[in-house]
Amino acid sequence: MKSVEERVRSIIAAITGYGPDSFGADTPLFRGGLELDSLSGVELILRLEREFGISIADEDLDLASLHSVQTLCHFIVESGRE
Amino acid sequence: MSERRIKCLVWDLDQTLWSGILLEGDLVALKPGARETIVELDGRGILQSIASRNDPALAIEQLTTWGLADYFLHPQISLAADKPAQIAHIAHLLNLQLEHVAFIDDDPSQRAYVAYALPAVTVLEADQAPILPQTAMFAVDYLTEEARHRRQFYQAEVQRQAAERSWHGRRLDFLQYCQTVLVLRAAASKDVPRIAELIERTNQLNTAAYRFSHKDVVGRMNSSEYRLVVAQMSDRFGDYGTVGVMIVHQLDQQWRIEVLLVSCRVMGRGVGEALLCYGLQQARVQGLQSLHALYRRTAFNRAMHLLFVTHGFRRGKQKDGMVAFTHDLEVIPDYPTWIDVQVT
Repeated sequence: MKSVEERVRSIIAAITGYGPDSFGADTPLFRGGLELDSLSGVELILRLEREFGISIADEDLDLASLHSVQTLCHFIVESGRE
Repeated sequence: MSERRIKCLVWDLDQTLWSGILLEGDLVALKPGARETIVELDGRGILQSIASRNDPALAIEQLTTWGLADYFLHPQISLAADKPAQIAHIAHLLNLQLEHVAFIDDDPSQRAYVAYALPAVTVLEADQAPILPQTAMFAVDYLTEEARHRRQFYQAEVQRQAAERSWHGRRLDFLQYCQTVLVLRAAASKDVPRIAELIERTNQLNTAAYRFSHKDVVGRMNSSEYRLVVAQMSDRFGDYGTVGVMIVHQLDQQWRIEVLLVSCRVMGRGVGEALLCYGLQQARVQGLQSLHALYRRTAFNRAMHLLFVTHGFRRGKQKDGMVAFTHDLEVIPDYPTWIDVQVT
């Protein structure tokens, strides 16, 4: 079974066109990194919600959790626990 | 009727735009008044398209002989036409909500089918075509330069989208390839109608806490407490006109972004990012300690919430659907790398 990180990486790859393993776990996803814009960011969140069966409220989103693959995986695991 | 304004009129062809049935070999003739309506609505910045069961090549050829083909964006013409699906597809391609779309057809069963399948769409009878420019739903308050060129702006976007679809590789590389130029400048009085229009028309990429009227824009324009910035975009595919607005309330050392909006025509191109970075830079240059922003959550503008968050704004109090964001100005992101930002 695929790990959380592999699943997150393949979603980001589909949105950005980057290869799933071509960026670091700590590469910024938004500004100064992969340069996701706010609109593709919304797409990312919708896809994560679908993939992991979680619901992500705007209030829970901050730059710390959206920063990179690593922080996003942590956020998803925590969200799934609730 | 109500406030509802139509942004796109979708035409049926046989017996609506023209009399006769093309596929039956009829010698078709443009209906009286059709051309005048098409040209008039186009000049007002109302987009037009086609949903028709027809042979696409023949139909376009016919429209071309009348010099009308270019007036229609994303025409949906096919032999196996499902009109609701065609209309929904047009709205999707133009980034419009269905409540801003009208459909005109001579066939009562097609009208009923569309009204049933897409209740938000305004359905019109073919006979109404000549009088449409006089109806309230097609009225425009101010005729802006942008409106007059809106279709051409969309046509540049159609070309860009086609290039993007055939692009293999990273999205970021495509954005670089577009060679986007964004001019940021202080708004002048000639910009007021376009600013008011953007505030009224923009739903998805609009943080505005409240809808402003034309008068409100003028009031802010004439006040020393407000700074209005407009963004004009062009790229290798053409010109897009004024596509972004930022209104900042500047009271002493307290600056607050009251409106940040981006035309949905250019969503995903980094215009909001560039405007926000500009605001942050200006606040820092002024030696401020923080920059505030107001955001009103709607069903459509989630992207703007994310825009603030990903640029380092901290979410503060929420009251009556309004969220206050604050940036401490310590780390300010650069302009998007793919945009040549020119501040004039």
